[in-house]
Amino acid sequence: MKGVTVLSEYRLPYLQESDTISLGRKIGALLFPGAFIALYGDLGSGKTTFTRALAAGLGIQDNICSPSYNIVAEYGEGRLPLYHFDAYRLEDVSELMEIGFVDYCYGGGVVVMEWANKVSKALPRDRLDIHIIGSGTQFRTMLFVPHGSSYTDILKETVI
Amino acid sequence: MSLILAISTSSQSASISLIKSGSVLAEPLVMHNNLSHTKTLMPMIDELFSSFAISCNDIDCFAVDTGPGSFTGVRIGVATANGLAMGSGKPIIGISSLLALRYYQLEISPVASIIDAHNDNVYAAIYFNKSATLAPCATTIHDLIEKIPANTLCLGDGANAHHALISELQPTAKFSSEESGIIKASCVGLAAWDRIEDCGSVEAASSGIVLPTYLKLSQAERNAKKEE
Ligand SMILES: Nc1ncnc2c1ncn2[C@@H]1O[C@H](COP(=O)(O)OP(=O)(O)O)[C@@H](O)[C@H]1O
Ligand SMILES: [Mg+2]
Repeated sequence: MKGVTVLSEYRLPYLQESDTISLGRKIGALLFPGAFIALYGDLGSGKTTFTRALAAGLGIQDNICSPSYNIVAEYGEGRLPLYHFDAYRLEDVSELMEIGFVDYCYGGGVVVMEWANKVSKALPRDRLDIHIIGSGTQFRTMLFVPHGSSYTDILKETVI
Repeated sequence: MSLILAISTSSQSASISLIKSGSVLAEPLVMHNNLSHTKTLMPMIDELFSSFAISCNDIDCFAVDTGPGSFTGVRIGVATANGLAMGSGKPIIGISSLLALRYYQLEISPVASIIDAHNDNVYAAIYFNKSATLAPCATTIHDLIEKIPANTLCLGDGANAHHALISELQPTAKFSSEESGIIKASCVGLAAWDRIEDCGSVEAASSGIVLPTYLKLSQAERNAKKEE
């Protein structure tokens, strides 16, 4: 549509909760086996809200909540398995490795990592970084940074 | 006479094998996502035992693939093999997945065993006959290729994943079928048999318990590509 566009990042401002949710659903519907979504943003910015919408886009009906206390929650009943991680409470990347993190990344499902900045060294090279800025009743700004052409393709179908 | 039960679950397949005096009697194998090895392994062993009308007590030695490979897969294999060995009071031998790959085509040298560690990292070793000319290590695919001698047969899922790059930078490199991306329990068993022969006895070759093989990627290697 736009010919050859080299996309490095894409910013969407003035988002209401319904916008965050509809973006999550659309992206979720396009995720592929091995996809990795890294979420960045303060407490209450909407990482879990967005993950819940991604899960709905994958066909998962379960109520997704923050897995802070267990590091990872698995949802098997959607179009693809979803592995929902939350790094908030991790002291060290090794804690992630000890539960077989790499197997989850290449296990044919979709991985979502909340608080990805806490485990930046462990993140796969190919992934979609999503930063959520704002909290409380403020509008949110979402910044999408694709690493790898599969993610650029998804953004072309959804946010661009 | 020596009967070995070998187990490998470090790759995309779960396989077991019965080795008698250095030859392969049987090798059932199941391909799947390595997160589900737990469900397959024990039933496979039960089935193999009943088809040969044997039990754990007839096994002289257990051999297990200790990785590197799938984190969960390696742990399932090692825990199962340690459990069987301890339960039956028999010895156990750990064989690295890199050495097992070398037994895929023992008549060819040199061979590079290459296991994908993702993000352009690999676990690798290079063998000439039965000795390692590059000891098992974790490295980047680019650094490894510089060390691959001419006419090397490259095996393993890392060789498959980086086939194009290896051929470009080392045009004399040879490759095997896609099947070489999995680790076969028969290769684990044959490597264990050789170790018994080399050491002179099962006792000298084995230990009470085996641990997963750890080859740590350095932070620099993990992040080398991110810096670009
Ligand atoms: N535009 C928006 N996007 C996402 N959440 C929003 C938005 N506006 C308000 N909210 C509210 O903000 C809160 C975000 O909480 P949560 O998703 O748990 O955040 P986090 O997981 O980042 O800590 C929810 O209560 C949600 O209803
Ligand atoms: Mg959260």
